[in-house]
Amino acid sequence: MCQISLQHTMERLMNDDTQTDREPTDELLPTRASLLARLRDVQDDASWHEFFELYHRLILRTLVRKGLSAADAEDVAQEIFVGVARRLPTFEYRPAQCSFKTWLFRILQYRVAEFYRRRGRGARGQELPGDAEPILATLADPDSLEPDAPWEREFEDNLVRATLERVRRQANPRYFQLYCYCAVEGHSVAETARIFQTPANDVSVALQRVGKLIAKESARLRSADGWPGG
Amino acid sequence: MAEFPQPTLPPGIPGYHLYRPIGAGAYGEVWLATDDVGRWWAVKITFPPRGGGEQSASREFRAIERYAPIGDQHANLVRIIAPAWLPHTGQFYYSMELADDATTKAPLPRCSTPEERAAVAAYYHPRTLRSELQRRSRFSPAECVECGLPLAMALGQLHSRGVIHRDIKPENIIYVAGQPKLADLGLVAEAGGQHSIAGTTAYLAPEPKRREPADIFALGVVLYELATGQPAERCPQVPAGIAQLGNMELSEWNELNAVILKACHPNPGLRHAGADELREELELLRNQGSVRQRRAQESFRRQLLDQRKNLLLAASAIILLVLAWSQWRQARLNERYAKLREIELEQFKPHYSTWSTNDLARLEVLGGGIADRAVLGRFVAALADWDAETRPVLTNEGVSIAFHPDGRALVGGITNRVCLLATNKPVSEFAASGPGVVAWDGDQPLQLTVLGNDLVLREADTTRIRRRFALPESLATNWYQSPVLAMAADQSWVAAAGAKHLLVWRVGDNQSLRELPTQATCLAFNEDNSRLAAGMADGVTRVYSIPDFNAPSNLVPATRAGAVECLAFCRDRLVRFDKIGAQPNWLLATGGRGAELIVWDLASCLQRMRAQGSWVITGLVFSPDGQLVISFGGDEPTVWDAATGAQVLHLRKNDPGKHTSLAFAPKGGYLLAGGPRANRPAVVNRFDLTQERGIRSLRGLVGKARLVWFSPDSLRVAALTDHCQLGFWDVRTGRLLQVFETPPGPFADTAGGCFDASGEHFNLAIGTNVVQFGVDTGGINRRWRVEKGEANQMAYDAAGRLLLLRGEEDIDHGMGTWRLYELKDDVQPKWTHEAGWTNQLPVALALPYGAKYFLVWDWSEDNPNRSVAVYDTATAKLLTNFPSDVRGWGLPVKVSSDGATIFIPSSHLGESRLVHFPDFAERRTPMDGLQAIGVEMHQSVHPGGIYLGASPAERDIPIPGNWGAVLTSAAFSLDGTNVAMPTLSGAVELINLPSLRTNLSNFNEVRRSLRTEFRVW
Repeated sequence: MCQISLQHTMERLMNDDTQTDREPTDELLPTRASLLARLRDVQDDASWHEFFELYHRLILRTLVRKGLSAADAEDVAQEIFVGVARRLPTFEYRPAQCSFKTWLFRILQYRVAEFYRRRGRGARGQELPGDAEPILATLADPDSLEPDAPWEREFEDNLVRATLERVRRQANPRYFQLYCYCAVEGHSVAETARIFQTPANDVSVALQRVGKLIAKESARLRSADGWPGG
Repeated sequence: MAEFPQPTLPPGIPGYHLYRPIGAGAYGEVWLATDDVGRWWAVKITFPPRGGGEQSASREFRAIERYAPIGDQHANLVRIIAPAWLPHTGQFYYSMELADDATTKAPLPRCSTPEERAAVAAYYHPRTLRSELQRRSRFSPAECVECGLPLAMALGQLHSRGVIHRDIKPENIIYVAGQPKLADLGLVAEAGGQHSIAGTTAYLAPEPKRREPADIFALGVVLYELATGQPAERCPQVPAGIAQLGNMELSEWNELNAVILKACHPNPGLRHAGADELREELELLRNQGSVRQRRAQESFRRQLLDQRKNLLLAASAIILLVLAWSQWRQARLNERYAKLREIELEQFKPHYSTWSTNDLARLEVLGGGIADRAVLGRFVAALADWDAETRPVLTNEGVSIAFHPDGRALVGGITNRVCLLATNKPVSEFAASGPGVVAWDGDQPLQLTVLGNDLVLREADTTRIRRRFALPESLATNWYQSPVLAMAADQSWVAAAGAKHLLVWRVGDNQSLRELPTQATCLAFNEDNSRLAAGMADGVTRVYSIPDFNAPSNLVPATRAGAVECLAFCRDRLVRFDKIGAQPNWLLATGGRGAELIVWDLASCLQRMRAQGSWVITGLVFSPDGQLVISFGGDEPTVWDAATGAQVLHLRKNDPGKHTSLAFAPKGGYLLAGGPRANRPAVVNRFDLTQERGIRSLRGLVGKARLVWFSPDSLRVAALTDHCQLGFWDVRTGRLLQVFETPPGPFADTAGGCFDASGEHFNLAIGTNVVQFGVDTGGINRRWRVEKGEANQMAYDAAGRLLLLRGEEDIDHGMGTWRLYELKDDVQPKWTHEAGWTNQLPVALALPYGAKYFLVWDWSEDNPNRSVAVYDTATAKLLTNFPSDVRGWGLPVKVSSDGATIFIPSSHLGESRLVHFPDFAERRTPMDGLQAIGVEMHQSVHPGGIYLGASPAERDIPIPGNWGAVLTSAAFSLDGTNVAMPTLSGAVELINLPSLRTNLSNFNEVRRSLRTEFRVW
């Protein structure tokens, strides 16, 4: 089930970057606990890098969705990362109350609200984007601190993307190429073999090996990794 | 533009006029500039170092300094002019070739006026690979190769000088005069181009250490971008449009793809080994070659090589393993050998001393677990049989040896010496005129020798000539061939044989010369001077009777393999049942070039025994009691069983000479052997033969020995074989006393027998005959005839009556009967008691010593298990009946030698019982856990009793004569010190228990290593 949904998301992400509406899954994705744990020590550059890689794009996209310009989004994202780094040492992970996903979303909401508050409506003569109105409206509502459906979806998409990136940087590129062409873009094995002028057996091997890698990486990213599952 | 730090004013760079910034990197800005003569340059000015940045600035400065000369060396590396520091700011600058203009695709034109320059500078946009990519969506494979090849060469140049680029991407590849060039170290970035983390990570190799392979990775990604037009992040995914390509194009594209994929491999070890390899592949593509084909060929070649390497490795591994294994095995064998050698040195020296080193080597193998039955048998034989020790006692040829009855030996040689030996040492030496035969006349040593043309008999010590016999010319003149001489033991006859004649003289009157037309090669008189044997060159032996010498008996072997070389007489101890009281018979052993050892029965002139050696036999001697015959010659000296021809022992000689003259000490125990030898000093060897290990082999019988009896005084032992031979031996010395041929009977093992109280007479019931033999006289004292019967037991009762218990079985009805006879002198026996036809099967009867009771196997149709019925001898009344679970022919019921204990067998020996007579108290046997196949007892009820058992494993061991199979009929002597066991080889193993016990611990230690055990309780 998970594998199928992963496959589906992957296909979407690889072929089309436009967002499609999709029901968010009920599944709470546990953020990798070990990463969070390591982030408590801000000196740990590798953890920071990993964390940054994992969530930077997600946060940027969400911020843009919330109506921020690219430059503003970059600024706010920086603030969010600094904030996370500052708060993490005192952050107690209590999955029953709040998952990392929710927690991150709340921080993001705060930051966005703060950004708009600080700037004020039309400050510096800059017009708010058209969809900023409902955002500002929701900001006053305490329920808005609960993650909305797009966030859930983005979070999920981000994990799939991260999975794929990791696999891309591990797998034999030839197999990865065959896998993408055959499994992701939905060509037949025979067609793939024709295009890449390779035995069909090669394609099968590629499907098997890269498929395994993807499953492994996906499981790794989603595992609670020592924390209780969210 | 807004993202760059805003330069307020063009900085002042000496010698350059700066127009505007055209790019920015992490460390500084690049300005469009002209020099004094109006040439266009790109001038890089670093940012002022911020806190702690001085170090990195100077590091950067050094890197540029290092790069500057390299840039000049390759057409595809951007040229730069050495950097210089700006005063006071911590900044430095350097100028480099300016990229072509992106619009005109040509270098900026040289302008003469500043206005023109400013105008040109205003529209200038650098032509980079990025700008090219933006202009056209993607490159064709050929274009990619054209572009990639010079870059790969440039990269190769860079790497060969130890410089790593670290930041190859389309933005950093500029076109100068139409040529793509690697711009330096990521400092040039197209203005407006993004310099985000996302933008550069696509070109970053996954490995943490960015070395040369990382540059190759980046170049691969650049090639990917060119070939597909896809963003670098998507590498290595292919665009959807690829499906539209034709076959030729697909093939081209796949070739390029192969190069790209190798360059972009996440594992740096699987990328191109260097920029040169990448260049080679691109060159191959440019020349229309196939990278994939070449790789396949290389891979095949590598596989082939790997296979060979693997084969080599496997082979060497196997060789090493085998070597290691053999080493280990050798070490283990050495260890065992050392252990056995230790045992040998401590305990078995006399035995081993008779063994060849070859035997020892085989014993090692045996110790290693490979059972060599022949060696094992001999190993046990070493314990059970003879001790033999060889030592030289005299340096003399010893062509003739004669023993005095007191043990002194006279040794005559060819070198004019006669030596007198007392036990081991020469005591005196006498001069002699030549070779000859020595003899004793009472205490007077004599020598028969050739002196001139005469044969003389002289006293060896005084040299006085007693007799002189004139030799005929044919003998006397042939000095090159000495005559063969012989002298009767009492010197009544002498004989000499030469080329054509055999001459015999009676010593009493010199005149009595007999000339016999015989070409003898060896001569021998028997002990009572009744026979003269002459061996001949054609293999026939003639035996003349003395004194008439007429009608010699010819002993013709079946295979006349060669000349007879040696002869030995022995008195035949076999008394034939039909010829009792006749003349004593003689045996003659012959040996020669045919390597055959034959013992002839001179009464019938038939072969009694024949044994085959492997080489010439030069000397033969019987042991004094005739049990053994020992052969010398080309083989190792070998001890044979004179009756059966079984090989008993090899004697090891210290020197390889062939002994020709042999003599046994009159009391046995040892023999002396001598003979001439070519080229080397000859020695006389003494061979000691003793049986002191606790087990003696009593030999002399032919056939499988079945039954043994001890005399009541335990001094004599008798054995019966199924060849109807009844032998008697002296228990203390092991000497064979007499062998009788018995009347024929159905089965030897159903015979009954007993000694009388003195041990001088032995009664044997076999078939319908009951015979009393005189052991000392060699005759028959009495003889009775009884009716048909099968199982027999004999015993004297307390009153001295000789009783015979005799059973008969009616096989048809499964019934039987027994009768008890009293045998009186010369009276035809009648039974005193009879059971009548009953259910009792009298196949196993026991009439113990003292004869107070007797035992019969009982059996009924109701109960197939047998029971033991005990009857009173005097009244023949049934005393009691003991049940047993034995069916059919199981273990026999046994009675201890004193008659006080009855052994009630069970099919499992551990459940057998011992019953005490007369109170019939029961107790278990101490044989739990031992599946003995036989048991004998001596006074066995009390703890000091002796049981003898053997496990079935014994049967697998070729112990002499196969003890295990016949243990059922072994016997204890009444004094309990000896056990006699008949064996299938005909020999009787006489075990002296006190002596064996002392040897047994050592014995068992060896036996344990041979995985078997022998137990005596």
